[in-house]
Amino acid sequence: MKAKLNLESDLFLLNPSVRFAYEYALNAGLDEKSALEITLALDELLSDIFQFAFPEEKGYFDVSFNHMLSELEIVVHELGEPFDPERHKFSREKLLKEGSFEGAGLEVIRSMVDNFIFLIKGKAGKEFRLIKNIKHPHITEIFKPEEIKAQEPTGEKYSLYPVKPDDAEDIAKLIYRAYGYTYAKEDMYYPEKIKQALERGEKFGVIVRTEKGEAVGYFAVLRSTDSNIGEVGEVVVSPKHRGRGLMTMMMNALIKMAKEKGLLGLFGEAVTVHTISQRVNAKFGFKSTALLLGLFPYIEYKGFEVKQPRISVVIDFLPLTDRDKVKVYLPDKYKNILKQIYKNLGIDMSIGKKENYSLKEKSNIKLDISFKHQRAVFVVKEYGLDFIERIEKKIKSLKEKGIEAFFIDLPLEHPHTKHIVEPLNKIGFIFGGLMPLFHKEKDYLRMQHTTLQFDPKYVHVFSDMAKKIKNKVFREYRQWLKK
Amino acid sequence: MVEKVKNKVIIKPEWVFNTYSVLIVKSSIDSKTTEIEVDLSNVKIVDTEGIKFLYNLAKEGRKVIVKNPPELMFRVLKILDIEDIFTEAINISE
Repeated sequence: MKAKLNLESDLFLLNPSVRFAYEYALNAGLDEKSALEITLALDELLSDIFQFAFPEEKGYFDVSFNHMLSELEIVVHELGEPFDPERHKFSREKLLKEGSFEGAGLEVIRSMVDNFIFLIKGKAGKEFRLIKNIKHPHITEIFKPEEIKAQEPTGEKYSLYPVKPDDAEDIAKLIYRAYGYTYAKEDMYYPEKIKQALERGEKFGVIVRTEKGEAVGYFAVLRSTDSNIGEVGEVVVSPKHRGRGLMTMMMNALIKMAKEKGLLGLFGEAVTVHTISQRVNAKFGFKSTALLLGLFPYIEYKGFEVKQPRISVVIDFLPLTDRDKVKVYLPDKYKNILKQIYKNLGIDMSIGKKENYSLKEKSNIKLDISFKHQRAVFVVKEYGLDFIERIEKKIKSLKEKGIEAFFIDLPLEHPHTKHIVEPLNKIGFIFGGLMPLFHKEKDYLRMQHTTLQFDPKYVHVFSDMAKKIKNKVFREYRQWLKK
Repeated sequence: MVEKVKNKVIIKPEWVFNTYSVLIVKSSIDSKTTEIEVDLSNVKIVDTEGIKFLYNLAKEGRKVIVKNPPELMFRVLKILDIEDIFTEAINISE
């Protein structure tokens, strides 16, 4: 649940704002101690803005609240006087000598949250992000080892059911049994997080049980938050019940459920450490549309050589409905490959020719940062004259905060996308692929930027289309490295 | 929130003692004020502006008594490494 406060720069609004933040944090699932900590951090930040950001006249600024299963994020965006927090350091000695508390607020903010980000956005002002992790009990804190242990299979029949919030504990047990501590999606070890996601309708799926009621398979679709599509993102089959057709049974049921719920498409982020997931996706009609270098941080895969600094993925997409002919503006250098991806998806497209548009002064760019995955995704809502400058500045700030992988989604229905590819190439962005229906049910060109070293030898792809995309990606990647 | 008894000012803020609280209580303190008592029983958050305000009052030579401070105030003092400086200047009673 998102919320946004638009505040006049008057101290009168300080206490109502922090009280709101506290209640929001509690509702988002933070315990009282953590809720008070992020509230104190916000209090310190707002106090500074109310007092110093607008010295001459009244100004307005925004405070946005958002929470996911694992973290709460408060973003403060203001256009007040320039300010660099790095230049204001608190010192005990300075307090003793001069009675100065300068920098004390920032010191407290940094200690009260799990991540504090400050971004200078040029003419678009400044942005502060306060992030607090939401803690839940791990499955191994809830059950003893003998309670998690799987039963021996006895050749019984399997039954498949839609997943309910009450299944959360069984799902966490199943993940633990199948993967120990190595499952990449950490949220799956926390029953309360699974339960909340199911209750909020953030995901739906199926669970397979034996005749005795033991959960032995689970497969879920995670609904996208800004488009009517979903990710086939969580799957597990108990090791003792593999090779018995459970995966096929679950995938068929999921596709049927997704269609019934009116989803326009499903996608998978299939790792390239091996091609198992890509093969499964291909079997069910998914088509490869992009190759994203280093989308996830490094993790070991039992039985496979990773030998890459981060984990790359292939985006496989399955359209669930027939689409009308789509009109898109394709950049010349990516025209061929994008046409092939569209054709492979079975989507009829035409190339837009009219270009009567004008750019506003300021761009509107949505930025999703995942500190857990050390990556940032920019989504272009509107191009402006400051576009490249904004992107460059943000990347510089985010690299200083440890972000390693950058992706940008460009709307293919906008003619300016044709012309922005070259300037993005110049600042290190290379081809990623097509993200069909990814935002507001529209198609986007994804480009990517990383300074890490990837070796194509260890990026394994399965489908013919994925191989073509990989060639394109690595050709541009090598050119960029040479520069 | 603020009560004046002769040269003593008694402050009992609600939930938070911060920049806005300081703005409100400041006007009640004048050159004749020799003692300030702050009862933080109902307060969960004391920010750095609140701490600075109390510290400065004490440094000006006034007697400052802080009653029932929340745990978070001590954590802020610890983060800034000024627990000793603060507790020397101010009387704290639990």
